[in-house]
This record gives sequence, C-alpha cells and structure tokens, in this order.
Amino acid sequence: MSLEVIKRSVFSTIQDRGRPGYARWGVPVSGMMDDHSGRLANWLAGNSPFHPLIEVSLTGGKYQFQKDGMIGITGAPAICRLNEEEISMNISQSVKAGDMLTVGRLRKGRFLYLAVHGLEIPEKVMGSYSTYVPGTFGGINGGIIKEGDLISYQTVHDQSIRSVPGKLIPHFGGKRELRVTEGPEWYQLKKGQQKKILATIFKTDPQSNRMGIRLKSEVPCDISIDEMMSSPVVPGIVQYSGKGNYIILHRDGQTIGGYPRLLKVIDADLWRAAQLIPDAEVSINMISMVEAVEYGNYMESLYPPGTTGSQKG
Amino acid sequence: MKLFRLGEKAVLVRSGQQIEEEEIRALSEIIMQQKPRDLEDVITAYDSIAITFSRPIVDIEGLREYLNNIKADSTSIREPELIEIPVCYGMGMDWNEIEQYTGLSQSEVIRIHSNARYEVAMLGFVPGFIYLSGLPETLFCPRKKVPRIAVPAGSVGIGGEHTGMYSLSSPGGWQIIGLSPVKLFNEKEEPPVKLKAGDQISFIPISEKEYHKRINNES
Repeated sequence: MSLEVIKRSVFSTIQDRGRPGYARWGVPVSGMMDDHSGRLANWLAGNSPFHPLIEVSLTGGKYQFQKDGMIGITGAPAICRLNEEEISMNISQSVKAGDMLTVGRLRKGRFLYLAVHGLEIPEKVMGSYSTYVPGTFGGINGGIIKEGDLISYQTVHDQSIRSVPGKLIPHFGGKRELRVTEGPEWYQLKKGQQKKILATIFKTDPQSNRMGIRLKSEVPCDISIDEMMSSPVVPGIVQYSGKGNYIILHRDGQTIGGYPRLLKVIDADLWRAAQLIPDAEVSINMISMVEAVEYGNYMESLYPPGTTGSQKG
Repeated sequence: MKLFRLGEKAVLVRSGQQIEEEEIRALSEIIMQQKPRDLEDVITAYDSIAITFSRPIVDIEGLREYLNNIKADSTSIREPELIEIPVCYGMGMDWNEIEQYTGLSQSEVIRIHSNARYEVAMLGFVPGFIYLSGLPETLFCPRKKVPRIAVPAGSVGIGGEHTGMYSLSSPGGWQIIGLSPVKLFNEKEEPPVKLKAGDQISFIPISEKEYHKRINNES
C-alpha cells in the first residue's frame, strides 16, 4: 500500500538532510533546498524534522494514497486539492485510502514540500536518501519522481493536527534581501568595488537549479576570473563568474570551484535563496560572523519543539 | 599558512610561503585521522583545504593554534599507492583538436601520455572526477570552447595543464583522449572512491576489444 504518482511534476525528488561528510570525494551534500519549509512539512506529518520527503519544483503533480495517512504541505504557494476540495497548506492533513492529491503550479517560489507520515525509501546511499540527479544516485533509482512510482508509507497512530505558526510562514515574492559574510577573495577587491557590489540590486536568472542560484547585474567586478587555482567551496558561497554574473552555490553544488569566492550567504538564509523566482530582485546585507551565528541561533529558537532535531539526524 | 572563513561552519586553509602543497595534503590527512571535535569533512584541492564542521565556529584562533601545532610534527604521511588504469585511446573523441593543439600525432600523444607518471591532485568538483598533475608540457591543451553536455563515464581527458578522469557521466569541457573501463566511483561502496590525493597513477593502453571485455566483466 503506497503513494502512487499519477502525474509527475517537472522536477520532483526525494530529499532529506543530505550527505554531509562526502565532499572530500567530490560528492555534494544535497538535501532539502528549503530546509525551513521541509522540516515544517515533516512536523505537520508527524515525522522527524529531516525525514525523507518529496521536494516538488515548478509544477505540482497528482498523487494517490492507497491507504489512510497524514501529510503536510509547505513551501512555495500552490493551489492544492484533495479530490475536488481545495485544502490549505501549512496545516496537517489526514488522507483516506483512495484520496487523490492535486498540487497546482508553484507561484512566487521554486520549491514545495510534500511530507507523508512514515514515508519509506528503500535504500540509503552514502548515509542519505537524498536524490542527486546528476550522479543518478539516492532517492528512487537516482532519478526524478515519475508517473507510476510507488512509495510506501506507514499508518498513522498520532492523529493530532498541527499548523505552522504564522510567523514561520515566509513571505514569498519578487524581492529579497540576503544576509552574507565575506568570502575568501572578498579582500582582493578595492573598497570602492566592495561598496558598489553591496549597493547592487541583482536579478535572479531563470537558469538557477539545485546546483546554484544565478544572479545577474549590470556591475562588472574588477577581479580576474582566470587566474584562480581551483579551491574548495561550500553551499552558500557566492562565486563571481564574470560579466556581472554571480552564482550562489546550493545543495547540489560542486565541491571545488575555480571562480573567486566573494561572499557567503549565511546558512540561515540559504533556504530563502533557494526560493528565489526568476527575475526576483535581490539585495545583499553584509553582516559579521558573530551576527550570522546569532541570527542562525535566533531562527532555530523560533521552531516548534520537534522540528529542530540534532545535527546528526 | 593562511586561514579564511568559508561561512559559519568551514575554514579554508591556503598554503603560503612557509607551506608547500605536499604539506597541505599531509595536513588534511592528519586532520582526518585526528578528527577534532565536530569535524565534518576535509576537502582537499591543489594548494588549499577546507575544514568543515557540524556546528558554527565563531572564533578560529583555537583552530589556528591546533593547525600550527600539528604542522610542527607532520612527518607521518601515508605511503602513496601506485595504480595502473587501462585506457582505450582509440575511443578518444577529440583527436583532431589534440593533434592540432599539440602538433603531435595520435600515436606520439599516446606514447607520451601513457609513459608519464601522474599524481592524484584532487577529487571533485563532481563525484568521481579525478584531477591528475604531472602532465608533460608537450600535451598541454586548452579546454573545448563549447563544453559537452554529457561526457561519458570513464573518459580520460586533458584540460589545460592537467589530465584527469570523469568517473560518472557529467557535463565537461576537457579534450577526451580515451575511455577507461575502470569504475573509480561507486556510490554503494565505503569510501566511494578508492583513490586519495597523493596516489600515483599510470595509464596502460588497451584495445577497443579489451575495453569491451573489461566493461562486460565489471557489470
């Protein structure tokens, strides 16, 4: 008795916390692009925060439940229907055997999370269920979720209905400020150039994906992009790729890069970067490392009990 | 050695005047063996490593001191292994460009490439990509102007001053000089890559028939 995918979305994958600790082999961490929304979806479904769930991108899809269960839907707003009836996101939803869930096109954001209580993925790869599509491993046979896929899940014992506190439901839209700290090559820029970058309004490029969020600007940067030796990078690093273009490396990003690393989007804002829609206006706010860590701790303190989880999971 | 922040949970260590590339590599091995508290990973590149942690690090002075201390007694480095990798050069896809850029014939390139001894410089940027240093200067070749969308798994290529191997099919701009039947990345094994930075590599030319035989035996 499973969840059956009746109509697939353009790009949906299974994600969890990801596989930290494998970057030394060139393996990206992967995991939920918007882990803020993802762990809240799991909370609604009565799962542990980083239980594997379905990360839906761009278009929604159709899913049929073959037995009773509990689900949670969060992230980018979309019209969701259970059979014919429209249902709310950000609240626990019980489903009955035979129910059909339809998720519409995602609006104002790039990722929607569908958590199902006790979702069971057959095989962990390198410690994680996360799908890494370019490497064809993880998730369901290393690929995107397709029509006919069957994913089993557990029966619910705890029927309690939870709803995401209003202050944790993000505002989705075309404008966003991202907090950043200095990257290793930032100091190589002249002060005037630094000021100019910090005052720039960037636009997101539609080419963005799980590997990286691309930002465009009219402001070329005075730094050579050819002379750097390839060096390690982590998700959140902002590389300058020339001609006013920048890339915020994300969960499926490479482990080593050859472009100057000017900035680092703070970990607590990485999920906001993930949700940027094409042509969104992005401004950056440089903060200190202490402020970045403090803000991260503050964000953690806002989550309801049971959504924080240990760092190991 | 110079330390830079790479976000809240990672520190970049770059070789400076006092520290050589081999020392950087030794440093990364020692850190992996000693596993300081909350260590998550050590990513090794040519002249730099990133040390990543499972929690934020505000103050890096303690880490700097730790690194300076282990630098002092970094004498024990693991013996590098010598690994022979079979390659069917006949299945290379960019011979015209390589002959043009190097001014050498295919058989001369094969002779030089397979006689050289290489060193694993780093693993990544994508799973199973292996950067090798030690490419003879006569074989230096610029990358393709338009990168391929999918370079086949097992491709051996030349990119600038380096040669290397794509273990998984991935996009890439290197000039492909041959295909190897050896699978150097296996996500189902622990660790997924058997090579380490510092290992020695040599390439053994094989025929297309031998290539197919080995591929069939591997699967």
